Amino acid sequence: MSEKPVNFAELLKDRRLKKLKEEIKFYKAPDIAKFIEQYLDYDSDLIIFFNLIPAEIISDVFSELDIETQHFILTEISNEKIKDIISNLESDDRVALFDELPENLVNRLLNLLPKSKKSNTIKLLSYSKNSIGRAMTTDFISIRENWSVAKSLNYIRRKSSEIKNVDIIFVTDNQGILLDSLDLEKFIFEEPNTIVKKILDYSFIKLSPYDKKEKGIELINKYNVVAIPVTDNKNRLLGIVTFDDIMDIEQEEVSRIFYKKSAITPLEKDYLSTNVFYIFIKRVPWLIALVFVNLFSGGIISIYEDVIQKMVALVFFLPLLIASAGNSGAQSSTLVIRAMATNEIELKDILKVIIKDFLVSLLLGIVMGLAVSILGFIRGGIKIAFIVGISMFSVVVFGSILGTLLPFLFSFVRIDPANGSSPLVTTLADIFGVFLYFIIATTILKF
Amino acid sequence: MNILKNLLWPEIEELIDLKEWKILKNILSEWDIPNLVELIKEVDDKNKIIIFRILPKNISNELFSEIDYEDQKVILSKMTDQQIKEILLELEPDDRTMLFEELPGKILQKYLNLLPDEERKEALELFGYPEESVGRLMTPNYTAVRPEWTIKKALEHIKERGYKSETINVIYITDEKWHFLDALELKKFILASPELLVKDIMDYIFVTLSPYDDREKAVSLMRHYNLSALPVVDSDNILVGIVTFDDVMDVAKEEATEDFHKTAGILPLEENYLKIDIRKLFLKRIGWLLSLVFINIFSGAIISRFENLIMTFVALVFFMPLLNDSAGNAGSQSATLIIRFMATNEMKWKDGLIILLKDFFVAILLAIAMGISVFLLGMFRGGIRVSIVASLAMFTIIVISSILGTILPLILKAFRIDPATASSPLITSLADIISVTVYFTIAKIILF
Repeated sequence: MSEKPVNFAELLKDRRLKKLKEEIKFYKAPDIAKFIEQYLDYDSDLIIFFNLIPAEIISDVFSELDIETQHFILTEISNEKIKDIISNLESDDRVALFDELPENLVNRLLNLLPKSKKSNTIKLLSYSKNSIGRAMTTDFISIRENWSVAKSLNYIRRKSSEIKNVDIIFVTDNQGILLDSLDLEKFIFEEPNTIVKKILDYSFIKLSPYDKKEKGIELINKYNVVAIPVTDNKNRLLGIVTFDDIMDIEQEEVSRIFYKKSAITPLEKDYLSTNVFYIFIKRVPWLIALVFVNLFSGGIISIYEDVIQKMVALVFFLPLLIASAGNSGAQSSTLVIRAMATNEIELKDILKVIIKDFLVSLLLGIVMGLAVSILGFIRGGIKIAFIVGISMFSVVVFGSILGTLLPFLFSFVRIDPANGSSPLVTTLADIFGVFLYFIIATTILKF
Repeated sequence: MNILKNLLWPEIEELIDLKEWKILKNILSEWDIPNLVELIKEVDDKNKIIIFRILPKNISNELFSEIDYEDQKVILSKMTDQQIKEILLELEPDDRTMLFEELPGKILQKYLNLLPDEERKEALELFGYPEESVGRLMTPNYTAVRPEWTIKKALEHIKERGYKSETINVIYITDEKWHFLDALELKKFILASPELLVKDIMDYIFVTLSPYDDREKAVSLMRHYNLSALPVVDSDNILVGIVTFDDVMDVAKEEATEDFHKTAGILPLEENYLKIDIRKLFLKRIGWLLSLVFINIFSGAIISRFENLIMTFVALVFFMPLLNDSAGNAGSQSATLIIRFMATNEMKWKDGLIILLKDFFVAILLAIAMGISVFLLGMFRGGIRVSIVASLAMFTIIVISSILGTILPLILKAFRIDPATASSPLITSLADIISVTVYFTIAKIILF
C-alpha cells in the first residue's frame, strides 16, 4: 500500500468528498495523521477532512497529531465529536494531550469525559512528568485465575472492541492483586476447559508508577516483552506500559542526551515547529556561560605575554593544542555518557574506566605529540618541536581524563551525566591546555 | 536485579569451588534468563562453561541466544560437534546469522557443515544480504494462513505451527505460492466467528520491508506504525521473513550509540565499552584526532601571516581561545540540531532550506548576545579598541560557524555520506580556521 496519500489533497480541493471518504479507509492512522500535518493548513479544509475519517480510527489519527493541530481541531469541531474522540483515546495519550493544553480547555474537556475516565485522567495527571505513571495506559484486560480458558477468551472477545492492548492478558485476584501476565497466544494453545490457574507460572516483571521512564526502557530491552504491568506497593495492577510507547520514550531520551551533549537545553518539540526565539533561548545560556569560563584562559595567556613576544611561533600552535585537548576530552566523555545511558557501566566501575581511558590516552598522546612535533620542527625548529610535542602529549592525556571524570562526577552528585558535555569539557580542557602549554614553553625556553 | 546478583554471588562462587553441581543447578534453574545472561557475563571462561553445562537443556538453549558473541564463542569452543549442532539448531535463524557474522572463516565453515541441508541453506541465504540490512535481521519463522481457509481452520493451523514461530501476535496471509497478501493481528482471528473465511476479515492495509532495506528503516516503520512485527517481501512479493520488535529495539539502541560516538569523532565500537581492548579503542579514536591535527595546520599558517600584528598587540591572543571555542560550540549546536532532526525525520530538501533559514536568524540573535558579552569582557582586559575588534569578530564568527554547522550535514547527505560524520571535532577544527581568519583580518583593518 502506498505510504503517501497525496491524492487526498486533490480530492479535497475538488471537494470529491465521497470518493475521499472511500480512499481514507485504505490507510493506517499514522499515515493519515502525517498527511494532515504535512499538507493541510489550520483552516476549514482540515476540519472537513478530519470529519471524513472513519469513526473506528479517528481517535488513533487524533492521537498521532502534533499538539498544535490537536488544539486547533478541538476548538473547531462539535462537542459531541470531541467527546467521542477523547473518550476513546488511550489513557496515556489523553494525559499527554491534557498536559499540553491550556487549563480552561482542559477543564472543559474533563467535563465531557464519562465519570470514571475523568477521575482516572486526573489521577494520572498527578504522577510526575518523567515517571512511568505518565507513560502507562489503564486500558488493559485482566481476568481471574479461576476462570476457564474458554470463559477468558469470551471475556477477551467482548472487551477487545474498546481495548486495544490484548497481546498480553493479566491475571488478578478479586482485590485486583496481580498474579501473572500471559501472552494471548497461550489461550489459543490451551484446551478450552483448562482453568487459567493451571497455566500460570507466577513469574512476571513489573514497574511502579513512580519509577522513572528510563526503567521501562531498560526492562523492555532486557526482557523483550510487548508490555509490562505497573503495580502499586500492594501489588495491585494499575496499568501497563507497552513497547511502542517505550520506543517513543527511548527516542526522546536519545535526542535529549544529544542536545545536552552540545549544551542545548532539550527542545520539547520537533525542530521544524520550534520558533526562532525559542531555539535561541535553548542555546544561548551555555554559550554565554562558557564565555565567562573562558576568561581564565585569556587571563592565563596574559600572564605569559612576554613569552609570546619572545617567540610568536607559540601562538601558531595554540588553536591546534586547545582543539586537540577538547577533542580528546569530548571523545572520552561521549564514550562514558553513552555507556552509562545503556547501562554498560555504573558508578562502581569508575576505577576500571579511568585506568582504561588513561592507557588509551597515553597512546593517543604519544601519536599526537609525535605528529605535532614534526609540524613544529618544520615551522619553528627543534625547540618549538619539543615544546609543542610535549604539550600535545600532556593536553591530550589531561583532556581525556577530564572527559572521563566529569560524567562520573555529575552522576555522583545526581546530576544528569550528559551535562558533562562536549562544550564544558572543551572549555575546561582549554584553560588547563593553555596553562600547561605556557608552563612547558617557559621551562624549555630556559634551556 | 544487580542486588540479587551481588547478594548471591559469593554463595554461587562457593558452590562452584565445592563442586556442588546439584545445588547450583537447582538454584540457577530458578533464575530468569536476563539474570543468567548477566551472570555468564561476569564469571570467567571456565565457569561460563560449567554454568552452561549444568543448566537444564531448555534453559541453556534459550540462554545461549541471549549472551554476547564472545561468550557464545567461548562456550561453543568447548562443546562436542553433536552439542554444537544441537545448540545451533535451537537458535532462531536471525540469531544464528548474527553469531555466524562474528565467527572467523574456518570455524564458520565447520559450523555450517554441522547443520542439516535445509538450515545450512537458510543460513547462507540470510548471509547473502548486505550487512546492516533487514535481510540479516529477519527470521523465516512466521505463521501464515490462506485467504480461502475458514477462521476455524486458520486457528487450528496457528495452534499447530505457532510454537515454531518467533511471534504469533501477527499472522500473515499468503497464497499457496507464498505471495504476500495481508498481515492481521492474532486478535482479529480470535474475535472473528469461526465459520467466516480469512478473506472476509482481511483489510489489505499493511506495511512491508524489503530484505535489502537498511535496518534503520525497520526501526522507523515500527515506530511510526506501532507494530510489533513487520513482514519482509522480496521483489516478487514473496514473503521471505518477518522482523520482530525485540530485534528492532536492539538495532535502535545500536544505531543511537553509533551516532553518539560519531558526534565525537569515534568510529563505532561494536563492543561493550568495558570489554573492548585498549588497542582497539585507541584505533577507533586516533583516526579523527590525527586528521584534525592536519586540518589545524591551516589555522596555524593563517596566524603566522599576522605575526607582526600579534607582536604589536599581544592582547589579541588573549581572546583567541574564547573566539575559537565559541565558534566551535555554536557550530556543533547547529550541527547537532540538524543531524538529530535528520535521524528522527524523513527530511525533504525544502525542510533543509527552512532549517538553514531558521538557523541563520537564531545565529544572528546568538551572535548579538555573544558579541555584547565579549565587548564587556574586552573593556577590562584590552581597552576599547581591542574590545571592539573582539566583539565584531565574535559576531561574525558565530554567524558563519552556525551556518557551517547546518550546511555541512546537508552537504554530506547530498553526497550520500552519513550526516553524523559532521562531528563536533570536525566542526571545531573548521570553525577554528574561520575564527582566526576573521579575527585577525578584522583586527588588522581596525587597529592599523
